[in-house]
Amino acid sequence: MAKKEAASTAMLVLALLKQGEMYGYQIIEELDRRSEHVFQMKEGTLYPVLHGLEKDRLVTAREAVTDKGRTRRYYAVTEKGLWALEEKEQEWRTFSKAVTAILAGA
Amino acid sequence: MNRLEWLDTATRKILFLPDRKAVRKELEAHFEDLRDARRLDDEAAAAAMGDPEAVAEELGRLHRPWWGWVWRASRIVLLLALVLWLLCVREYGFGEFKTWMYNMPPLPEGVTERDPFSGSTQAGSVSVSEVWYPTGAKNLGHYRLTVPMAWLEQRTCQTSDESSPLRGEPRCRLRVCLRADTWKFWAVAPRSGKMIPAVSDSEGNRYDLGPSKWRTDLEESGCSAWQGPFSAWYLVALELPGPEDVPEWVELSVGCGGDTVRINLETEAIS
Repeated sequence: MAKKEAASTAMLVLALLKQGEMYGYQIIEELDRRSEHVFQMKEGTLYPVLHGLEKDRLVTAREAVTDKGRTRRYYAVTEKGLWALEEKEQEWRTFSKAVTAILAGA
Repeated sequence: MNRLEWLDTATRKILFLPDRKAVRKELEAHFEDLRDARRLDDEAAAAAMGDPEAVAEELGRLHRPWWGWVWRASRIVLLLALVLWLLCVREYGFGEFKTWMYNMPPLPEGVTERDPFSGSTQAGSVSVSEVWYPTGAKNLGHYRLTVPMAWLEQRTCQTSDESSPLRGEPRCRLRVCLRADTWKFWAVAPRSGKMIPAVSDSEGNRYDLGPSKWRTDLEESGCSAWQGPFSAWYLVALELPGPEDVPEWVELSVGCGGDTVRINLETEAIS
């Protein structure tokens, strides 16, 4: 996964986790649903993003056992993660505004 | 590619086994979710998971084993130790390094190690008639002072000045070896003889040594110094009228703070 793509995915993952903790498959499904199938990533490529966020302490993880006895790893955003997300959102808004302005003038 | 092959490939670059096990477990749970939610078989699920090689690259980069860092750090430490050793040898010479390493005080030239109970030995113009091995230590600040050896030597004056009345005269000298150890390698005691500016003895004599006053040809009382990374050696020489004038004790002034080290030659103890 290219670095830039990973950075964008990381931002989207943080935005999702801001709503509450989720596990890997749940994050994939939510990304797909909320973006109306625009963001459909390969399932396995999510995990390097999640582990990278955990390494940078932007998210934390905990294991929980489901009713069916399956172990799931739930991720939650940290305070540092929220600050990082805010920064990324600001960058995105600036970028988006610039692109819109150029397209409007075209 | 089936599920197991995909998992093996995707986790093979995680070298730290506990991490690899944990990540594999998490990915396996995702496979189960795919199978349950979308009714995908193994191969279809593996295809949905994406390129395992790409995932392996990323996961391997993120999950560096802790022992890998320890190994790298140990190589750096080993290299630094080697450089330090080479600098020590270069600075202090093999002879002085050996002295430091083996806790051996520097002996007079021409005198070999001898059994203190065997009496005198003679080699060249120097003879050693008595040796003491004082025990105990004194702590001054971060220095630990010990006196590994003291001895009485007699020699013939070797001055190069042919007109000197001392030339050829028998001389008697009490030699005291002091060692100052400290773990603070950046604050090893000074090399200069200023470390021991004066000595007094039980006979009421006082010897002003001054900085590096030692000169073999004039054979005055003085102090020589050697320095290692964690210790410094001082060899004090006190001129005595004769071998029967050995004092009961000698007291060395150490540094300029008024501290002293007393060496009792009769009891071979320091205080």
